Amino acid sequence: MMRSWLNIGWCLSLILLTACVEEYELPVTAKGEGLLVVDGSLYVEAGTAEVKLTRSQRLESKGAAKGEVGATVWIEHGTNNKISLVERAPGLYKAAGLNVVYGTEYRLRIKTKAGLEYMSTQMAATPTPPIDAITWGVEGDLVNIRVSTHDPTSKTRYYRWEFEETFAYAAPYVTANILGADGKMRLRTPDDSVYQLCYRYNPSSAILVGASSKLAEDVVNNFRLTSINGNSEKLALRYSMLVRQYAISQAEFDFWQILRKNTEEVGSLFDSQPSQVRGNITNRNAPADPVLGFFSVKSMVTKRFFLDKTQLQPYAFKFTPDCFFQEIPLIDGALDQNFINDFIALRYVQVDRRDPIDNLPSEGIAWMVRYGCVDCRDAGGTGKKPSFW
Amino acid sequence: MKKYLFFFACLLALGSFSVQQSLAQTSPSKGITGSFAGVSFQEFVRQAEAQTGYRFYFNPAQTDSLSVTLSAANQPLPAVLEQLFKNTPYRFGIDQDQRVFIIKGEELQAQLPSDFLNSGANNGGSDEEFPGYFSKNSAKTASVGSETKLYEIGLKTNKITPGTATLRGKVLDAKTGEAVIGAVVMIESPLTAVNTDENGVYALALPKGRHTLIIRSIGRRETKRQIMLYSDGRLSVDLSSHVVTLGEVLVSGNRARNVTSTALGVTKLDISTIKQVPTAFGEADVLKVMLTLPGVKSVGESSTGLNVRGGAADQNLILFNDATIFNPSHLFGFFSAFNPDIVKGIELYKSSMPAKYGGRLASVLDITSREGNKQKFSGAGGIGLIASRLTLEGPIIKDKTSFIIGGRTSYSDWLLKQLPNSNLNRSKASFYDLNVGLHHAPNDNNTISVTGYFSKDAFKLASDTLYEYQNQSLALKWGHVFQENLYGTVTGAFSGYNYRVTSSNNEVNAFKLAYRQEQFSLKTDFVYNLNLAHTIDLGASTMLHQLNPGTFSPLGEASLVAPDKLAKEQGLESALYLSDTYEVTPRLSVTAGIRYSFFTYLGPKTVLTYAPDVPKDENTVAETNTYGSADVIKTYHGPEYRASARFSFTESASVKVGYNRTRQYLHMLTNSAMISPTDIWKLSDSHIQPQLGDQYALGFFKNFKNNIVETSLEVYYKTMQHLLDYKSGAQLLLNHHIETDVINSKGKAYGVEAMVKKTEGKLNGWLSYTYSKSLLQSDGQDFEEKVNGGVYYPSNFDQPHSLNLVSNYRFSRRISASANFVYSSGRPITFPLGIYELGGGKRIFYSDRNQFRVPDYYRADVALNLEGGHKAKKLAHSSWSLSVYNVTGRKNPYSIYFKSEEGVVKGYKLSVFGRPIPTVTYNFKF
Repeated sequence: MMRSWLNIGWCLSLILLTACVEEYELPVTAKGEGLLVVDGSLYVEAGTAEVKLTRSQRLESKGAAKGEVGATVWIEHGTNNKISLVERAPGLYKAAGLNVVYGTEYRLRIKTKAGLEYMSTQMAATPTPPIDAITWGVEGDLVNIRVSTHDPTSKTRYYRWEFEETFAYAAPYVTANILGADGKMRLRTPDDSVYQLCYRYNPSSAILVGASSKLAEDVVNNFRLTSINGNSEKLALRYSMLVRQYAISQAEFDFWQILRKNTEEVGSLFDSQPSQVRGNITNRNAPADPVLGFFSVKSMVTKRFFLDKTQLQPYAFKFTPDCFFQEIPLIDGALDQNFINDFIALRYVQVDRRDPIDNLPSEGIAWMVRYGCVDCRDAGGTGKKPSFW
Repeated sequence: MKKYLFFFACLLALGSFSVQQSLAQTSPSKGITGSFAGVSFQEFVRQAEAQTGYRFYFNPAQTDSLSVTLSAANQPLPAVLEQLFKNTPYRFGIDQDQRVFIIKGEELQAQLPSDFLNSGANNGGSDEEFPGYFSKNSAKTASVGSETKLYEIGLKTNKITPGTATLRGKVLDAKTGEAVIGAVVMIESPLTAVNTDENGVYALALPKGRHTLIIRSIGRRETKRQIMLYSDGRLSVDLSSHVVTLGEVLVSGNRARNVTSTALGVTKLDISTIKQVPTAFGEADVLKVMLTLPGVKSVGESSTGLNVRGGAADQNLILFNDATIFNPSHLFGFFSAFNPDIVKGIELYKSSMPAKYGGRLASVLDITSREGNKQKFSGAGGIGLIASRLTLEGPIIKDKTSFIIGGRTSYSDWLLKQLPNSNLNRSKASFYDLNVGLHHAPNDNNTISVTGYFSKDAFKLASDTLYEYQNQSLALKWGHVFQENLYGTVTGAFSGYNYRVTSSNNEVNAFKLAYRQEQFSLKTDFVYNLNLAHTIDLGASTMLHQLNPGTFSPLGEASLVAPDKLAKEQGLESALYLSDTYEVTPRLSVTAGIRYSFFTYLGPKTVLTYAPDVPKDENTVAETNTYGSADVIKTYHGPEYRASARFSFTESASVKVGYNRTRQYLHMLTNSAMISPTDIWKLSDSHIQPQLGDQYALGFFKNFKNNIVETSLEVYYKTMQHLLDYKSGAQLLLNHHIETDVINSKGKAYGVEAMVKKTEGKLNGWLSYTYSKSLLQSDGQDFEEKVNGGVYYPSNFDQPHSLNLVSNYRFSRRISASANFVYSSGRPITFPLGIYELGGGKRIFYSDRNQFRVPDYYRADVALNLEGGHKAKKLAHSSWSLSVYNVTGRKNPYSIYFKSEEGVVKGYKLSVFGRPIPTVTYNFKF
């Protein structure tokens, strides 16, 4: 709401041809990269531990964060009990086969390759109540997926959810030409499988925390996990979601809640004050230095949910794949080879009247079409049906 | 910048040159040349008589201690004598026969030296007939007759008896008959000065005898009255304003008042000064001019929220004719809420807040409107690029009753509709306001006035959400003179502010959010001049606050929005005050005051009580109590001390100290740094304590050049308690238990303010520099209640350095030019510093709160004012104002914000006035 207030001020000034927006670069003293980020979990029921160590990046960075390699990571509990984690991938430290007990306090310890020591506060878990239901509903163009749960003992109060979504999707066409592993176009051979049905997997990235603390009973009723546009590809065939529910402490709830507000409401003059959020990990060598992230002992329950296109039929949603046929221009009667090559570099493939495509344009000889319309794997999914499907 | 300084230097040079010239023109051609180093006065006279044709007449006994040190090169004698006798008790007069009479000031009034009369030729015998030099000087002014006439005051006696007598009277505007408030009535030796009060009334205790009374007021011609004071009596004076008399225009502050009053941190500006300062859209802006004063800042270019001496925007009491104005801005702050044609003057109290004011921590901005012309019907107006205005005024009963009515409206809506962009022409941005005033003075002892104000703003972005807000106020005031030395007023006022946000784009989500607050107040104030040494102010006030902090309701039948309504709040704020200004000796004057304020938070209301010693939240509610209508829920009360003292070293130099305490029971809830139209006000209640402020101030004041140049250096230190800060992500709108989202924090502010002001002359203006800090500390028990780990951190408006230059140069009676220069440190900001991966997504890492600053702000503006032809009998006087705002086109940041685009967080800087803005405004007056 406040943002729009700013916008109209901006627009009004535009009328007066005076306002201007330009990119702003942070002053060099504003350094935010290179801080240790700890994403650590100890799973009670699974008896596993997973700690991801990365470093923060500059604001404009696009790539994935680099893992912090070569650190010594362990979890302490009781007197002198130590669980060592082993680096399985750069920055990813794991342990399995652990006996993790509700109510016991665990502490994460890290010693980086550079010799700096980090330590979390003591954390414990309480059993997470089961998920009662995952439901869906339509509001306008949106399909909302919601979760409900309750704790009859009223002990949980604070919840966090994560989910993984999996959906089936299709590539509508089969063509004579395909793109090889080298990215070059070649003719299809009988050895080349046809990939018209794929499954794509997305983890959730939003921060989903809820509290029943405002209510008389420890009940979470229809907490919205996600909203999906009804016309999107995700819902075109079949959609599935695996919901993981964790009971968390109030401290962890506050941490995620502030982080959520900070991230979702990026500051302008009218927005609420963002603030530095401190997790439960400190640098033992320099306690004032910020350490990002959180270590939690997680009690987890999961539930899977399916939504089939037949269930959505009453709403007349329609997904239209982006499969535009880009006509290849002719140069002296021949197809423009440069045009074709340029489009191949963008992962397009050539189609013509030989291909069994019934909605080709009536005019023209040959076209380029997105390769994802021919091979569903090109959109990032896999052709292998998941075991739960 | 360099160029600008050069230009200013030129202006200065021109200014001083012209002063010299004007002196030279008033003297005879014969000059005096020579270098006198400590010679006796008699020796000087001998040489002067030899070189010039003048003859000197004086009492050697009076001048034997006088030595002369000066050098002159063919300078006219009057100029030399003026220089010689400046700041001495000696006075001189020159008649047509080139006779120079030297007298010692004080002696003249009681008895004339016998040999003076003997040596002077017997031309009249009494001193009131000094026709020469003085009258020549005053011959420039319009009212020659009255300035040279000797007024005999009181019961005439043959012999003046020793002692003092009190002169009382009224200063009126010669054209409109309106009382002139704050005019200075003074004599120069011994320096005695008073200001006229809100009815234009003054009372001045003077030694009996002969005096030259000088009457000055901003924007009006200075006038003098020769008086012979025999005993207590009255003298009323008409001052002509510069609009009528097109002679030399005086634009001056209250000369010497800065030095002689006991108050610190007080600035008084007349509308004519305000009108000289260039603004973005050509219309004089009361609040923008405030920002050029030391210690007054703002967080954004087009924000009208003022931050006075490190205080928040809600800590200023903005009074418009005794009624509070809650949102003093129009059109995102591009215009202030006050119509410049209605405003008479403003007074800002940054430090020595008079005991009669209270309820806010940082300052009082008292804006008064004009009473209306009691003599004849007249009007004024202006046509600008975005808005226009018109004011009409005139007598209803001549000399007794007058009216004034003024309105302004924007046509930005119309401009928006003309645009080809469909998003823009579905937008809306408009305002209008209306002022009405009635003033009735049935006799000398009574005045009654009714003033009303109404404003409305509406804006909307691309057919989405419509924001509207209104200010309303109505004040009824009766002033009565009980006896010569007791004056009182009774004021009843109503102030209202409301806003409404409606969104109808999506009929399912269509909503209406309404907010409303009202204040009803009744107060009475008395000024009692107990005797010459004591002036007592006393009074009482009570104010009922009623707030409807938020009603959220569905709009339209299809809307599925769940209605929500916050419970109404009400409270009663009352105060008693007593203050005495005591002139202990002419050098030492003390003002001591106490204001005792009471606040009661009243039902009906359901109040939550939280468990002690844990952070307040929904889980720690211990009990719920319901109070009935007008039940007392919580009472706060306490004294507010107001004290200041002045010690004069000389007539033009003084040192002052001050201490004041203020309490504030009404708070604005805002997450942003400036006043925005969805801010909510909140009364102190069981959980939110009144804000408490203490300020210590010390100031040095020195005037030069016969009070034309005023300088001041003020230092202050302030502490503030129970300020409201917010937890991260606090929800302010429609929060049923705001106490769970606020943090009780404290603040401190300190600074040094230096100012040089030239009040008169062709070149006038001021230059000020401020160094200040404003810090907050939120150190609650809980993590959420600690900001930056609980240490002091800069507030949103901590801008340590600021420099302001406001200057006006009058080339001729018709052409004047103004130039402004503003520099200020950038305001603090919280930056996102980096990104990191956590919980499956990218997160932003923020700096400590307000750890960084936006780039420094500086801006230069110029304006040229052209007055139309100056025939006195003309249908309308018109003027053109051409101004260029932000001449250098610097892209000062209005806001720096960050947006996430394609997974990358990018910073943007928005400059509202990112290039020079030329504006033309046509103003007229009839």
